[in-house]
Amino acid sequence: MAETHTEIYRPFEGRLRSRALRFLPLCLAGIRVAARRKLPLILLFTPPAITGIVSSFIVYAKFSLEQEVGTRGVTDAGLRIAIAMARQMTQVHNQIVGSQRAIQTFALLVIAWFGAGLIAEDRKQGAHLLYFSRPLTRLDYFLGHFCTVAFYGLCAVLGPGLLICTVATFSSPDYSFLKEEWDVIAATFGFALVCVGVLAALVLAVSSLVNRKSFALAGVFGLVVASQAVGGVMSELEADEDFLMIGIWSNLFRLADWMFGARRPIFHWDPRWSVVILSSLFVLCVGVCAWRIRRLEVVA
Amino acid sequence: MSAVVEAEQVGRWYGQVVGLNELTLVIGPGVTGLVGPNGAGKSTFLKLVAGEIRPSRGRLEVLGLRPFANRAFFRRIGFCPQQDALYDDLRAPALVEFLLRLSGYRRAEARRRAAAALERVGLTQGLGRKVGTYSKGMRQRVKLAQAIAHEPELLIVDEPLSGLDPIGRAEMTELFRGLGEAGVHVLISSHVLHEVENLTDRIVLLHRGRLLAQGTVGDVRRLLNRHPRRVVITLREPRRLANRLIGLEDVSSVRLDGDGARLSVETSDIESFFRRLTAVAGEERAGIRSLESTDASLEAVFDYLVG
Amino acid sequence: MTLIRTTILIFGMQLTRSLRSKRTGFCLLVAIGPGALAWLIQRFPGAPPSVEIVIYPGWFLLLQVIVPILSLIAGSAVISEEIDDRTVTYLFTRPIPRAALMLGRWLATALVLCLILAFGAGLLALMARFGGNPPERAHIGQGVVGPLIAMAVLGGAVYSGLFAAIGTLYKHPMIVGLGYTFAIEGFLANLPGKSQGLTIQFYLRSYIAGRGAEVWQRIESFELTTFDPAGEALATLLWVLVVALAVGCVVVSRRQYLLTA
Repeated sequence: MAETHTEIYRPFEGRLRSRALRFLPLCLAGIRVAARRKLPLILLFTPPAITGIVSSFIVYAKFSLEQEVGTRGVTDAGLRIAIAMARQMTQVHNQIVGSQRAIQTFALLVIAWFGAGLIAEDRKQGAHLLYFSRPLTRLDYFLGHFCTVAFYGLCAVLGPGLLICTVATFSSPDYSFLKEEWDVIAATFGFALVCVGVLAALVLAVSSLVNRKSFALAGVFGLVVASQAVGGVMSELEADEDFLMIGIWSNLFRLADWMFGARRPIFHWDPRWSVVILSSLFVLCVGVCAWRIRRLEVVA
Repeated sequence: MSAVVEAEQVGRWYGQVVGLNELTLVIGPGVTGLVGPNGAGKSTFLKLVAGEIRPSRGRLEVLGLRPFANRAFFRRIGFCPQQDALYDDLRAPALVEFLLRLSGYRRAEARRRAAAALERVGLTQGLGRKVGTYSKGMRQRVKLAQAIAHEPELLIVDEPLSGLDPIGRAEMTELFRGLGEAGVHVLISSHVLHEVENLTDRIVLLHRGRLLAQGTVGDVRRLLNRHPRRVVITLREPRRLANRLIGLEDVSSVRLDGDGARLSVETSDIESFFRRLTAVAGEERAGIRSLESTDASLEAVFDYLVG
Repeated sequence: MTLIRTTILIFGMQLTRSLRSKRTGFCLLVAIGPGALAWLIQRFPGAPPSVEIVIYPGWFLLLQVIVPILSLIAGSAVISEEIDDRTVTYLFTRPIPRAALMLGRWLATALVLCLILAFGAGLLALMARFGGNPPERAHIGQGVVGPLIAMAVLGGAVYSGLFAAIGTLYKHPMIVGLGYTFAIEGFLANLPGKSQGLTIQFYLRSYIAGRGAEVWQRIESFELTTFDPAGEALATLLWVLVVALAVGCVVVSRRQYLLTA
């Protein structure tokens, strides 16, 4: 004889409604799951943290020195030149650009580590069957994973830059850095978004093409390094620096130099080309993701 | 007859997680069921027995040998693991044949045995397709085929009936029974108790990494004397018989069930009860239609031990 | 079953599977890259001489990027793929020496990989020679292609052996391999001094510098380095390979591999 136990459950009252930002639970879950393993967090974020701290210290020293010199004055000509050079080297935006170059490998490693397994492992474990049996669109699925990667990427890329800006703000006299060089802060955010956005899309695209995290990691690194190598080879053989535009990192550096107004950039091509190249790469990667996620949903 | 498996204070842990703890048991020849809920340590124990891993402590001997990485031991066993993992890019005959060749058979003999094993497990269709295209039940049969193809002395199977339909389960149960009758020692684990009960009455019960009970189901049940045995009697004159039964000294309760046509009796000594029931029922002309001991099953035993 | 017989059996099975796998197709596609680049370079006006088209992509792209990456993808999967797929159970419960699994799979993987890399290097040379340069600039000469192919093949074998050994030791061999390739080798190989001897790239360079034509010296980084004699470099590479395989065999013979359910 059948039995029911309605006394256990509260009857549902209300109506189900569609939630806006459906990707958010997926994103937050991804962040929580990734944060459970402490060792990768420590290993991957320590170098960017150290870089940020060191650069912040340099910026702090710069402002302190300027205040000291401003108060007492400098009579020695050589010392004046040295101070002028030091002032140039320790410009906040130069420090930010310098720190980004220093942590480039770790930034890529962070984004690749936290992003490479997202779609690949979903496919391997069959988790996509669970996702697509929920009212989750392909866009929600993509955005959920994209935001997970982007979160950690921003921690690695934006974190050091924001730290430097914060130290600069509070150590500059009357918060002059905030008033006069707020564009550096804007550029810090802008560059971080571009860098993380492009790399996150690239990592997800590669992840969607393979079924193992390890292959995705190798693929991402291989692509980035190979693009640099191809650009370098072409540039060397054709004796034309513009071929370096083939390299993903080269374009990011060019963009960084442009956004931060570096006076002596490494590369000299029109930065708008870098914008076009990175945008195209982003669109291509998003397109690959869209195609592969569609296949996941259909084949599921 | 010598023991097939001898474990003495065997422990196995994975970091902080204890898989098995101070397990001491002896498993004899024939078919033995290893039962327990999820997380009891069944798979850990089977992996130890199959030589896949070493015990963290204690002594374990299977067929008189230490199993881990022991080639002489592996010649004598067949292992069907729990995980649904196969070489998806191979065809079933090629897969089984390859594993047979690793067991030392020549190509022609391996091919013949592979075909025979696949037929024996009931996989006769789809042999031209890759294993990756198989259903779960077909994959399970391939796993079993590779475990029995070389006619091992000891067959170790971890959850072998999962993924099989009822007909498949019946066929596999028959297969294991047949192997047991042919002299193969079978150690089979499952958390589906009634299936193990259909196969054998010799059980090893694990719970939370420890040995809970061992023996035949009946023997284990007899040991549980704090739980009175329950007998359900369907009969014509339930109330008359109930009046008489309540007077018997080892009957602790009598209950009229639902529609009043059944008596549910609890007794602390079931053999004595059955002896006296015949006489009493005859005197009262009770018209017994059926008699059932509802808690002699493995499931009931397990509930009493764990619950 | 003896070690040799088992190794041959596993080699045969793995070779068949490797030839049919998507990973091999991917590796082939990547290996074609330098050849495609060589063809592309000659589409531009003022293309450099063919010999430079061989040595620059050959050194910077093929030997420093493609060989390590493909070796990492192939080599790290020798044991770790069986563990990740949880199929190692079937092999480890057979009466075979465990080391045969390592040797047999590595042999098959390395053979396919080396063939692909040799093809890639050969295609690069072919495209450089016949890809469009006029005859007076298309001449490549002795001591250019041979050493390149030899080092692509040997580099593939040594790297794959090293990464196969790493695969037996670590749960995430890809991370360790990437770290070694791009952090350790990328840093140390370009640092003047004895520390270069800790990298495989140094010995590959030494061999080419010693056995290859003079044109190899045009590569900038060669100027900063004091190379080992070619014979010694070759011996060191083979020694690294043997030690890596030996370590891998010992580890896989003794280690317990815990498979997740």
